[in-house]
Amino acid sequence: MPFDTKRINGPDNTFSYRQFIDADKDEKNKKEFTGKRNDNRELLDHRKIAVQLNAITKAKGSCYIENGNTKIICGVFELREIAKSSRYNDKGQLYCDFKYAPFSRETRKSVTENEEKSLAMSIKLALESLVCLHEFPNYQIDVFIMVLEDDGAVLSTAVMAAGMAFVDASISCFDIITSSTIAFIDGIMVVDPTSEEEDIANSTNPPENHGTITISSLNSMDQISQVIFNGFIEPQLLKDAKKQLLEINKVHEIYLKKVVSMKIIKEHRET
Amino acid sequence: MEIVCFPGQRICAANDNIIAGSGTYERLGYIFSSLAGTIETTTQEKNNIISVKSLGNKTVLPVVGDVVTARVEIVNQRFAKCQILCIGDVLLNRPLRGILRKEDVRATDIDRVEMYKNFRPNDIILAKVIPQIELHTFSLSTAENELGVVLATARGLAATCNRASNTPMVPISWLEMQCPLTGIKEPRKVAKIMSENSLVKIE
Amino acid sequence: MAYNPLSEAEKIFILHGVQDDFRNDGRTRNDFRPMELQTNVIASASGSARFCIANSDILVGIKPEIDIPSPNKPNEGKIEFLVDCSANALLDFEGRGGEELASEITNCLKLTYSSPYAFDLKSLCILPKFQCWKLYVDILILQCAGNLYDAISLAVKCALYNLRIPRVTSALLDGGNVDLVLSDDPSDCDRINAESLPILMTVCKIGDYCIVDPSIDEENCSTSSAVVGVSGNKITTIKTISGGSFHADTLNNLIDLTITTAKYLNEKLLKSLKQEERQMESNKIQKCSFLN
Repeated sequence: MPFDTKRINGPDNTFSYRQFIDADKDEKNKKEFTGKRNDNRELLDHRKIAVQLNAITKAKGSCYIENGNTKIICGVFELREIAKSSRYNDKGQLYCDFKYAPFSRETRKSVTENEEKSLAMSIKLALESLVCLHEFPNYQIDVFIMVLEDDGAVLSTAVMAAGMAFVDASISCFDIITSSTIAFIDGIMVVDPTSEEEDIANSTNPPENHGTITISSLNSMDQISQVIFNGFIEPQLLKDAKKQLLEINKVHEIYLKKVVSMKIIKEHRET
Repeated sequence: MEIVCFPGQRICAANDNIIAGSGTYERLGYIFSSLAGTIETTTQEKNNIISVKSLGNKTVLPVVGDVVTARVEIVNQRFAKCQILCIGDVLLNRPLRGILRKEDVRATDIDRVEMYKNFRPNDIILAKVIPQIELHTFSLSTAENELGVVLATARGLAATCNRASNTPMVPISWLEMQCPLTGIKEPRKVAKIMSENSLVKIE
Repeated sequence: MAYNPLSEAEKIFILHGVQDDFRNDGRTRNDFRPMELQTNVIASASGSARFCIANSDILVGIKPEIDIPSPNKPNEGKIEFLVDCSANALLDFEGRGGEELASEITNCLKLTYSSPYAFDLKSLCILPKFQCWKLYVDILILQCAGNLYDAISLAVKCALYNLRIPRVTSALLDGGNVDLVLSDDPSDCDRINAESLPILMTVCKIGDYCIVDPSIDEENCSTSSAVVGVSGNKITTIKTISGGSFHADTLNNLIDLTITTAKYLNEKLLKSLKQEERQMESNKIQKCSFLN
């Protein structure tokens, strides 16, 4: 959002009203994990995802994805000359822009620009091993990702959205990218955490063995294109989580393929 | 029967007679699809070319030897700057920059080429991509009978007359075009348009 | 990262070297290059360290300042990392060139220090909801010869070990105003337990093998690389930092490799830090200049 310094912008240090909610009550309600999930899921269940291709008509390819309440829209645009580059690159480049909508979280604009940039960088790295960049030397492809609502597992959902947008744009890819997240709470694996569960996993006094791990994989070659873990955990638990995540990714892949084949069949009927 | 495939799907083994075409890539002796679409096979002198066709508009960059459709933007004594609109039959949504140098206009008598007598701004030309010299600008050549101006409107009288301004000129020789309404003749490097079938044979 | 052209033959040479467990500088796959450390190098900082791995040269200075805790974490202090990639280190960093890398490293450090088991921010709290310490960790890259993540994390660890926070003798709340009294004695100060502080380790995959401490040449040859943060025998971060992909089984190897190597490295580091401190106290080291 552009910020006009010449205007009077009102007091900028407002507080969330939530911090005035009775702290003790809040502590009990929020910070404890009972082993049961609020949405009646089993620990190893993933939320349902829904994908819609070609959600933005102006983009070359686009994808709207819902993972439970997490909603992300992503667009891929035409090839563009790499600005200010005087060196010959035999590979193309990706430019990834990642933004949270100001209203996407409980508190308005709780994500700093720096975090957005770092997530954008992670998504870019995950996509670099997906797209056949050697087909576009000296040109760059722009990817724009917008988080409309954040209810956990944003990174993995965004990676899948971007991957599907590339497929929708008919840009050559080596594979279909799938991605999923696991949160650890006291050493217990919680698949596809909601934002509440993520908060517990990374809160100020978490139980030991906590954290979240996201793995993006290219399944046909058994390749992992991106791993991000943050927390404090025993190595063995991470290895178990990896196995679990790769299994989940395979399930995602089946669904994504179904979406794509529906699109192809529909287009064939029309022509 | 069409076969649907996805990026990363293994199509078949590659060998000397089975070649990976567009929309596919080869890895570890197998051909994989890189697009979501349907499989197409074409036969060319004993060779089977496997390619994947996607219904969406493909994303491609011109490679050397591609025939492109371009619009002439600026003409000066040494070169004409163009905007590449199509690569083969793929329409680009965002035009690419191209440059047609004086020495690449025709194959013979290249010393006596005058750019103004061959191209005018707004002409639509067919050209072939030659090796790139400048970053982000594709070098073009019209040094073949089949390449050159395919669509042009006359300047002068024709341009002032509203109705006629969009009327394309008709080629009368490989060096001249004439406006059907006003009869004005203008010099151009005219392309000898071939029917699509014969073009395939030449390739 | 750095532009360093390597011919195909050179790349194959390095790859074969990694396969035979004999790298082009004579190391095995899990060897580090020689390291050098020095603490308390900057008098104006409360904690400082200079750390070199081969020619990668990092200078870190820490300054504690007093701040108000953030409203959602009332009993925690703050820590902020700031990496400066100066153009002296690599010409590519000139202008805004180093910004992307700097923010990457900053984020990685922030993530790896985020768990309270790795670094306890509560110890930096003076008066919950009102006053806390904020540590500004400023990192300067003087020279770059590959493996920046490791060098920086080790340098930060050394500087935090060296850090001396003035001791607050009393903190009173007087009608909403905070009254702090700091100890008069400059040697009376708090220190941070450096044992559990995480270290980052870059692992590059070259051919079928993973190596630690890659040089610039090796970084150019690798198909993919990841940074792993290790604290004790636990993992605090994993982050892939290059665009390549690797096989699913490689992740296990990568974790095992870093855990064993980091454990050893951590022991050695703490030992030499203590040794260095004793030497400094007894003034055995004769310094001829700041950087030597």
